[in-house]
Order: sequence, then C-alpha cells, then structure tokens
Amino acid sequence: MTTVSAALCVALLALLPWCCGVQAVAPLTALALSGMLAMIAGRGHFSRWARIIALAWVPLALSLFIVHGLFTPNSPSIIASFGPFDLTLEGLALAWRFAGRLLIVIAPAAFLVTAVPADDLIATLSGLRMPPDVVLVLQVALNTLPSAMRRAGAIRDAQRARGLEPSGGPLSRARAAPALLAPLALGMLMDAETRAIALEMRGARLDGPRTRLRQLPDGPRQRSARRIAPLVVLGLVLAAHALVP
Amino acid sequence: METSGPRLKAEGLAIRYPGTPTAAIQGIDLVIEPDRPLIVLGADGAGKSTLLAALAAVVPDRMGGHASGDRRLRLRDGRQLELGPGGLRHDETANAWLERSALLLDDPTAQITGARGRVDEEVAMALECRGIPRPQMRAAVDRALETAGIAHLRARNPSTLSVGEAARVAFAALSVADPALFLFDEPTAHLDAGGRRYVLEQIRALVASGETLVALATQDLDALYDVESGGDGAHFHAAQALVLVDGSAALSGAVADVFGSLDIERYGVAPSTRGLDARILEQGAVDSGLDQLAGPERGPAIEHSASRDRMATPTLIATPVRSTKVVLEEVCATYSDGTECLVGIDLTLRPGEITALVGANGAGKTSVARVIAGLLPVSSGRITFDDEDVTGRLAPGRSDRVGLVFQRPEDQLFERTVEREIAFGPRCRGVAGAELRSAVEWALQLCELGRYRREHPYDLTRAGRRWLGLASTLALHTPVVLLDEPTVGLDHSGVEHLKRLLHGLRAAGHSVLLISHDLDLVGDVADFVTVVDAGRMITAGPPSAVLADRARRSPAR
Repeated sequence: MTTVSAALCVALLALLPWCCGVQAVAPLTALALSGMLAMIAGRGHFSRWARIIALAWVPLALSLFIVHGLFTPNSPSIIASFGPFDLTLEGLALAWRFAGRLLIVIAPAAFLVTAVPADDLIATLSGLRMPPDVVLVLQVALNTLPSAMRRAGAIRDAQRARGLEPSGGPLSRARAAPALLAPLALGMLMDAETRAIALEMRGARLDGPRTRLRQLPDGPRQRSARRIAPLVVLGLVLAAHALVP
Repeated sequence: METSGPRLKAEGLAIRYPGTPTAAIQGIDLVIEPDRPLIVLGADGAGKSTLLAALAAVVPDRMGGHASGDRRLRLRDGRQLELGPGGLRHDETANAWLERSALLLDDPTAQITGARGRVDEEVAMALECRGIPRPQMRAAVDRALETAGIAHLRARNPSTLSVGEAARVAFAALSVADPALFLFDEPTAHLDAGGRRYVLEQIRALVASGETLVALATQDLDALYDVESGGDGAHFHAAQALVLVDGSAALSGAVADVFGSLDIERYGVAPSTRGLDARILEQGAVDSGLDQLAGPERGPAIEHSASRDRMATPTLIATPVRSTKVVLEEVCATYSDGTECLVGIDLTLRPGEITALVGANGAGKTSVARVIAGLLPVSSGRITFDDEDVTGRLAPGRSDRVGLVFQRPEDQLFERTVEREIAFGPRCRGVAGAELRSAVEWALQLCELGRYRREHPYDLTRAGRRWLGLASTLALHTPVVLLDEPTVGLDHSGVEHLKRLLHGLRAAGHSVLLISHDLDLVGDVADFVTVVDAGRMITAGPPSAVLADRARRSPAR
C-alpha cells in the first residue's frame, strides 16, 4: 500500500517542474525519483526496473522520435537531412512531449511492479474490499502466465518429436502455428475446467466474509507516511504553481 | 438402526451433461457412512468421475448439466442438506454442501488453483474463503503442512512443485477445512510409490477416524491392499463397492462380495494381484448381500474387452521394422535454467527388447526419453544409433528413427479428427497417398480407434486420447519407440491391451523404452530394467533381479 502511494507521489512530483515552467524536465524527474526508489528498494530491483523501462518505454520513444522527428509538418528548424526527409527540432520536441508523458506513467509503474510482489498487490486489493471474484480473476490471470509458458514448451517438444519443424522461415512457422497454438488453447480450456473444480472445492465462490493468511507489514510509520506524503507533494505542487509566474 | 452421525444418501441419482443425448450416470442408489466407505470401480468412461462430482455437489450444481433423483447429506452437527432435481444453483444448500465437501482429482498438478503464489497460502485458501480469523488459520495451516510433511515447501510457488509434492499440497489444501465428505477420484494415477503410499495412508487415516464420509474411485485394487498396513484389511472390510458400467450400477454390495465376484474382470476392473479379494474373503468379516443390479451380460466393456483379444500382436508381427540399436554412453544433461537433470547415464535399447526405466517422480526418467528423442541436448557423453553418432542431431532430425509417446497426449492433439491427427506425423515426414492411408489404418486398428476416426480428439475419453497419442506415434513406424507413463488413465482392459501391444512391438523388432510407475506391467513385459534416481542410474538388470531387490528394500512397493 505504501509502495502504491510512493509510486503515485513520484508521478505527482513530476508535476513540480511542469508547474515551474520547465515542462521538458518533468519526465526526467519521474525517471530519477523512480530509479532512486528502486535502488533503495533493494538489490536487483533497480536492474529489473531498468529492464522494464528499456523494454516498455525505449522502443515506443524511439518510434515516436522517428515518426515526429522526420514527419512533423511546418517545422522550419532542420537539424539534419536524410534524402527527402528532414529531421527537425520542432518534431523532436513534440516527440519528447509524448514520450515524456509516457515516461511519467511508466517509470513509477515499473517501480511498483518491481517493488511489490504480485501476491502483495492482490492482497492489498483484497484489503481494499474489492469484490472477491475480481481479486480471484486477477490473481489466477497473473499466475496462469508462467504455467502457459511451460506448457507451450512441452507442446513444441511434442510436435518436434513428430517431425514438425517449428523454426525456420516465415512460411514454415505459419504452417506450424496451428499445431502449436491449438493444443495450448484447448489445453488451457481443459485446465480451466479442472481449476474451476479445484477453486470450488476450496470454497472460492462461497458467500460470506473472507480473511487472508498473508499479512502485509503495515506499521504506524507506514500509515503516517501514506497520509502525509501525498499532502506534502500536493502542497509543493500548489506552492510552485502559485509562486512561479 | 438409524445412527445420528454424518451420512450421505443418493436415490435414483442421474446426471446428464448439456448437449449430450444420454445420461452420464443413472439410477444410482447409495449410502455412505463413516464406517462404510464407498469404493467406486468401473472401466474408463463408466461414470466414476461424474458420480463423485455429483456427490460433491460440483455437478450439476456448479459446473452445469441436469440432475434427477435426490442427494441427501447429514452433517456432523445433525444438519440435513438436500439437493433435488435441477441444474446450476448457488443457493444456501449448495453452498453449505460444498463447504463441507472435498473432491481430490487424479492429476495433482492440475489441482493447484493458481490463485496463490505460496504453498502455505494455497493450503490456507479454503480457510480464507470461510472467513477463519488469521491466528486460527495460521495454526491450522501449520498443522496441515506438518502432517503432510511439506513444511519445508511453505514458501515455494505451488506451480513449481513436482507431481509428488503437488499431491501432498492438494491433499493438505482440502483436508485443512476438515470436510465431512471426502471424495477421491483416482488419487494415485499419476504418483510414484512414495506419493501413492502417502495418499493411501491419508485415506486410511480418514476412514479410521470414523468421522468422515469417504468415497474412492479407483482402477487400482492393489492400492487398497497396500493401504492395509499390516495387511489386516480392517478398514476396508466394511467398505462397500459399486461397479459402474455405462453409468449404471452393474454390481454393488459389500466389498468382499464384489471383489469375490467371478465377473469383476468382465466389468473392466482389474483383480488385485496381491490378493486383497482373497484375503478379505478369507477373513469373512462381511455381511451385506451382493446386489446384482444388472446381469453380467450387459455393458460394452465386455464386448470391448473380447474384441481386443482378436488383434494387436499378429498385426504388429506382420510389419517388422528396420532395427536400430540405441546406446547412451555417460550421458549428462542440464535444463535451460542450469539444473543438472542427468548424470552419467549408460543405457542400451536393443532391437526386439523392452527396456523399462523406473524411479520416483522427478528422478529424470522423462529426461532420458527426451535426450534419446533429441528434445534435450546432452551436455556431455555420446548417443549412437547403430554405431552412428547422433549426439549433435536434435529433433526433429531423429523423428525418422525415434517415436516418443508423451505423458500428456493433450500436448500434441490439435487436428479436427482422430484420423487427421494420426496422419499429421507421417505427413510431416513427407509420407503421402496410399502409404499414408495405410499407416493411418494400421495405427487406428492397432489402438482400436477405428470407430472414432471422424471424432474430434477432445471428444474422446481421457483413455481414448492416450490411445490416440500412442497411435499418432506408432503411425510414424519408427524402429525406436519410447513410451512415457502409457498406463495413466487406462482401465484394466486397456492395460491388458497395452501389454499385448508391447509384446507385438518387441516381436516386430522395435527397440522399446518403457517408462512406468506400474511395476506389475514392468515385471510382465520388460526384458531389462534400469532404475534411476536424481538423474543417476542406480541399478540395472533383468526384472526378476531388479524388482525383487527393490521389493526387499521397499516392502510397500
């Protein structure tokens, strides 16, 4: 819960430079603060955080810079020319605006994902009195992915043993696709039936109040921090907005 | 005399699934009491799983379908619950029934709900859903983990457990809520000797406690014998047995009477090789009349079984193969995550010989098969086919020489008919026209799937899908055939058919590797047995010597 608040605060803090009139720096503030939090969170968190940024944001940002940098109309400030295409300053600024906004969302979210185990997040949602069915669906979805990946590997092996060559050119891959995807889809459906019985037997659809074995560490300091931090951040943002002309 | 303890009674129970013309079970009458557990027997597809699911109020009450007749459950506190005719329901009665029931299915890994990321939370889930306060829940979970011997697994992700570990977790996750009604559907089918013993001991303890209603569907009468620690038969003397044929009770009554019936094998039920029936009869502690609800002449199980006698071996002998000798020398292999799975394996598969590979769940048996099929590269050592070094040639490069029948046939089935599924492998290898048709016909006949040729593979029963997996591999007509746990889910007549088929493969000159927990099958068909443990070869030799040695070391099996 505290981590969720921290991530939200980082996103809000990014408004600070924006209020001070230096909008272009706002995404970097979000990036720096999230990175710092990820570093504080412990070993390995920072590298995982950086990997998520690299995989989720960098390709998007690159495509934005290419598209807007080269194809923004009415941009007189040409930096470089590539044949018929001109790279313009206005285009790059526009790209950074879009990419920066994405970064303000992605950097704190990446911190959240790395710092909070999925089960803690679900337990938090459960604590927030979210309907049990919704929590259950979220949790099963989160945990199903790894088992689907394992099954995909087993299916690939089974078809290769029968002589199918799933790698190679695009044509052979396209031909192999039904043999690989159909057992995965059908298998997941069959699993869903067994899993539904297993869930019924645990009482997942019984009426009445729920409890949770998982106890999330939540001391008075954390509670106070959660209450105070957003207020401080909001105060800073409002102050900056009022003071800076 | 009417007692006041827990009691389950079904009268005229019938279940029909949506979109099916016939009932899956019908006209079932039974009574279960704590001192009268129920053993449900019958061939594959006879309706055993449906019956248990109906007794647990899962079918049709939660999963759909339509029920006729009545089900009545008296709880330990004397409260009476009644489920009459109907379909899906989410009312108070169905909830209360489910809350006090537990149904353990055959595949332990499939029963990990996927809703919790730690073993202790998976076990706690039943209590969480019942709103038990955390301190009581913590104590109950600790007890359940200790009892199941899995306290050390508490922080593990349940999806990473082995089959044996998952079996313990699944049992702990159900027993933690102390159900009044505990139903077991083929609970030992996937387990090695250790896992099997564990589950059976838990069932015995439940029956002995005298407080829980227990029903057990099984193909494995030996399991009931093994469960009798000391072999006194104490807990199952009073049990009742119900033999299902095509969804109806063909035979029911006291366990000794049913087991002692000369007809039992004709219903697709294997007689106990360790003489449970004889021992119980000798002790004669039975008194409840045999209820012949239907004559032995009924039921396709008999016809099916008889038809199997006519074929298999001669057909196979008529189609000899080019022989291939497979030799593994000092083979080591590691998984992609760096875990070492095989260490210095030496193994030879000779033409016209069946080599069995036995060992506990997770011992590395499947890895050996994957290495031979070229699905798992070796990190050191050498593999030769007829003295030709094939170590570096991976699948599908070896599919012309090696056919692997996987443990989960569902991982390969994708075509829209049985026939097309069998044809897929040969097609991948360029077989076409008359040759392809003949290969498909041969495999269909061999596995008795001819009448299902136009069916969708997923419309077959689980045993049917297993036969289809086998047929798809045999259609490749490879000189080397590897079978990974081929008996899981097969009934008695299925196992007997498989034995004949294995003898046929041997006679036709195939080099066969049989991976199985079923040591009776291994003893019956294998020429050579290799035992593996933790990826290493422990011992090897003729079955008479190896199995006798194992029996001495492990009396339970």
